[in-house]
Amino acid sequence: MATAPEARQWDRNGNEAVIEVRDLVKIFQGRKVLDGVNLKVYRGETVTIMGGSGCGKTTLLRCIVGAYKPEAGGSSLFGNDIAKITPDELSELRKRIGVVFQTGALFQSMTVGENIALLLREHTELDDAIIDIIVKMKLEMVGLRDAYGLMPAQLSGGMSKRVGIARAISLDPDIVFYDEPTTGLDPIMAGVMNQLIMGLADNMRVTSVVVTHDMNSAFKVSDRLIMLHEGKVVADGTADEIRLTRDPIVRQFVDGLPDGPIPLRRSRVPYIEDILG
Amino acid sequence: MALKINAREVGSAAVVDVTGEVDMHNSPELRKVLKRLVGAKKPLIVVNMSGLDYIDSSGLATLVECLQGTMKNGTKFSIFGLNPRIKNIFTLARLEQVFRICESESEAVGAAPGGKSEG
Repeated sequence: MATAPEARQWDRNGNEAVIEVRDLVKIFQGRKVLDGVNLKVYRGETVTIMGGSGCGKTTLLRCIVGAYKPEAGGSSLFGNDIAKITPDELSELRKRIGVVFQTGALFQSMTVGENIALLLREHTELDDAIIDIIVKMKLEMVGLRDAYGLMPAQLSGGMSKRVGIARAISLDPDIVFYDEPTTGLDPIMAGVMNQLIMGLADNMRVTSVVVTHDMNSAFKVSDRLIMLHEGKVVADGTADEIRLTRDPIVRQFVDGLPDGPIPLRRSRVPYIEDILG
Repeated sequence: MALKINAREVGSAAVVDVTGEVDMHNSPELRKVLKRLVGAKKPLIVVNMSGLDYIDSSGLATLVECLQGTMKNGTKFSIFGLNPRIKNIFTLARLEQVFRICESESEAVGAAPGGKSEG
């Protein structure tokens, strides 16, 4: 199993690297959340980033899309260094990516249909009639066509997440970032989401980066899995390689073991010191 | 690959050959052609997709809009020549149940009044 990406721009099938992260360091309040992360994602791949809560998965995702500025290192999308492009160029680049936020992040004053139509209205010249059909198609793809006229406040958490997915894929992006796409969904709807992620990759040329704790989903949808631990990439391999690895850190996470090299994320102050004053 | 559109008449049917890729930038070109045929109340509009490499959501929506137009007119609309990948795109958008999808041009054109068979 490789522990660091190779210095290549294409995978063995000739697909180019559409995402590249180089020696990325991100610090929050003196804590190195990301500590020299390197990775590449190739066109058409579905890559899952896994790791314990607070290990920096979401931070990594935000650095990749330019929402956070790293302290060192950087990232490129489609060969464009995020730190070196103008805000207008970044905005142009963002039309080619879709981001599914953990909570759905919908605009509360708009209907579900309006939320999904928003990016299409902002970034395309398409007629309203065409946009309306696209909105209905996207809602059908996430199993929520009946929610077209509802307000976000009328949706459950799982429904909001699915609307967020419909919105993220409204422009048929080249890359979709999914932040915990199946968390909070019932098993059937989680299966629908897995199928959608795989279908978009197989048929719509979509490159997917999935941040998740859900190992069932990760093994099902991923071409490759990357594990973050203490801000570093500690594993990078195919589903089979990760499933069979003897690396104790990966094993503990994949098997969901309470004891192992990954400490329980409790207070950094020793318990005895804290409770006895 | 650039989009090419060619409309021709086969009996009373209008057959539209679509070649290349349909995306958000060029789908209005396809829409213009299809809207013209719907406006002309052609008894049957057939879209030949055998030369199509890719179609995005705006392209699919354009076909749906054309289907809506023919239904309002009481005329017919069929598509044929979907390669497996294009067929999968229809399935992903759950549209395989919406359209009359034919295997060949003769089958598709056969649905025209006066054609080989009524579809």
